[in-house]
Amino acid sequence: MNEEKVDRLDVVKELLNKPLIKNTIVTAISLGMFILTWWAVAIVADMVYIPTPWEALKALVRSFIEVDPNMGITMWQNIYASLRRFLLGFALALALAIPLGLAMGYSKIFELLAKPVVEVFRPIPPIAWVPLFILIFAYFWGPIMVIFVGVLFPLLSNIYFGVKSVDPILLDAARTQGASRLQIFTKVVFPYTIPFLMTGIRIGMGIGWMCIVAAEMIGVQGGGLGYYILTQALTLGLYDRMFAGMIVVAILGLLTTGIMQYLENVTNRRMGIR
Amino acid sequence: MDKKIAIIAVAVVAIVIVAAFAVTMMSDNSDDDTIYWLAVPPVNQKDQIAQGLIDGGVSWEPYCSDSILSGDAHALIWSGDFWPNHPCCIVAVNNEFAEDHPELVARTVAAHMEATDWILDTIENKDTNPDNYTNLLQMGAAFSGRNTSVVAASLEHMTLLYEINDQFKDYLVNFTEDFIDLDQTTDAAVTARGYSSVEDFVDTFVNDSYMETAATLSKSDTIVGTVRLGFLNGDLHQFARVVASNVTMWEGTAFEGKNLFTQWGVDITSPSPYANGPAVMLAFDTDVIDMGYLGSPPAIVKHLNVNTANSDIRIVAQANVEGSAIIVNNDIQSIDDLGGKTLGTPGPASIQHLMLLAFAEAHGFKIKLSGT
Repeated sequence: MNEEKVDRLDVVKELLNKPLIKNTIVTAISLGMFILTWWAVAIVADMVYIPTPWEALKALVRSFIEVDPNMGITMWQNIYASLRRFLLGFALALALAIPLGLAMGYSKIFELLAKPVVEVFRPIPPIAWVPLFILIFAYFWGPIMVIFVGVLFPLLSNIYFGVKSVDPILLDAARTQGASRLQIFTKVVFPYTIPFLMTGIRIGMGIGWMCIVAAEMIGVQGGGLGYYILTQALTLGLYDRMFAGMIVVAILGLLTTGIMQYLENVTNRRMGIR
Repeated sequence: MDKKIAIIAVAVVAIVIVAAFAVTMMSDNSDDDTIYWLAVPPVNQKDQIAQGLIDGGVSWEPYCSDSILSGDAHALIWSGDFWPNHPCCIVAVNNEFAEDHPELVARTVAAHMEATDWILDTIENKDTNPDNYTNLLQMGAAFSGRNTSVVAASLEHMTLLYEINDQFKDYLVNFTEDFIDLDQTTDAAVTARGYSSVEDFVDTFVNDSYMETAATLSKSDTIVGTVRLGFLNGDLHQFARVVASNVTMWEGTAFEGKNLFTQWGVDITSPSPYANGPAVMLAFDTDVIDMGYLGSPPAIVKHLNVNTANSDIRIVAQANVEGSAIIVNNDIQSIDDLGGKTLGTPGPASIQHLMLLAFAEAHGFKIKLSGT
């Protein structure tokens, strides 16, 4: 009987020592503590702006199953609207950042030509472009272009840095093997930058979410999470619904950056980086 | 390595396909029996109509007249033709502040009343006393950033007043019931605020006793106290505050160097102007202001929804009635032409948005958020 108990304890210990289970438990404890703290703050502060997690959860569920009468859409459509903008802005940024970053890193002349312009535009916060982009690109493309600008520079910097980081010994080895300039670029430089690109994408994901929510707060067509949060909070003073929107943004942000972190790890492993 | 490049190439192609898909998804599915709305601040509506970003907008003065005089738009209907004498901007005070400083509030209201009377008198006598009228227009132009022609046109489409009457209260009851129907507030919020019904709420929410007190007061040589007063940026519905804050109009008189507020013993401090009524309500709630000029709808909605002492406000005077309009581009010539068109509004909980909803319903249109 005692031996059986010891065996069970060993099994439990073994399970707890498995990284995945261990990490899951620690994460669950962390989230549980956060929710309890939130609950305590909501009760102690007793402010209308801070609903309890239960009130926020109820608003969250309602937002998915009921049409918001002010916007005429559900949370699903708000998510769809934001995700669509996010993906389009991201795709445009990728389409420009990859060739531009590779060219800037590989060609000295191109670097001299492009870098000053990039450095002028890079410090401008993406949100500062919103009024202009709304007027130039209208309500559909305006917020997308904000994401484009927000994501472009971290991507570009990472790719550029990746090209610049190529080990000169690799380049020399390729040259001594008689590789052409194009072959060096396609067989050495470009593959070398892929892990940097993946890091840029992951960082860009986080920035992209910040940009989309902020851009939607200023001007948007077809709903969106930023507009939903702004309307519920500032226009109507319905803070439980505001928290529901914020929770959705947090979950989507976690999901997208989590997927990218996973892909980045896989890429790094395959590239032999770790 | 070639395999990896192939994978990247496939990924790029996939991205392009996704982008192409998204582009097809944004195709316009507008219906002729639907009016689409979009939240566009009134200050931006003229430019966006001119650029074709929106087909029209529902706005307040001076932005309605500004759009019309630009030649890019015209008024399809003025709010007064749809809702005669409908309330719009009001003067509100934090209830706790009012209870602690009743005389100060009454004196502020007195300045508001005198300024309103001065404007009405100036308009009525503009032919016999053109100097005052010119001064009025210039004050409005300086405040709103529009020219004097726009200000003059604006004055023709709104009525400035301060009196509170039964019609005003009836409108507020109707507005509140509409907001409950729209789920912008709830019966539970009305009850939670301690009101037994919507009528009870409006009876308590509107307090004209300060105007009655104001009528018994006289001007003061000394400053009785300070009021932190919020107002909307460039909104000519709140013209009385502009006039009451003006010092130069009293040059050469016994009140030289004083504006109407200081003549009544009130030192006014104002934070930066606010973009809209909800922002003024946020200023109340964060204890940045004691009194404020704002639209009656955001005052109602946020007073009920944000159940805090700071948001416990009272309406102590009206500022104007009417003075909003559905402004449309020149391709739209009749109400029937509104089908499938996109109009900008200041957003939910504004009188302009509420009017658009009611107008659409009255003319058999459905209404939807643009892009949905």
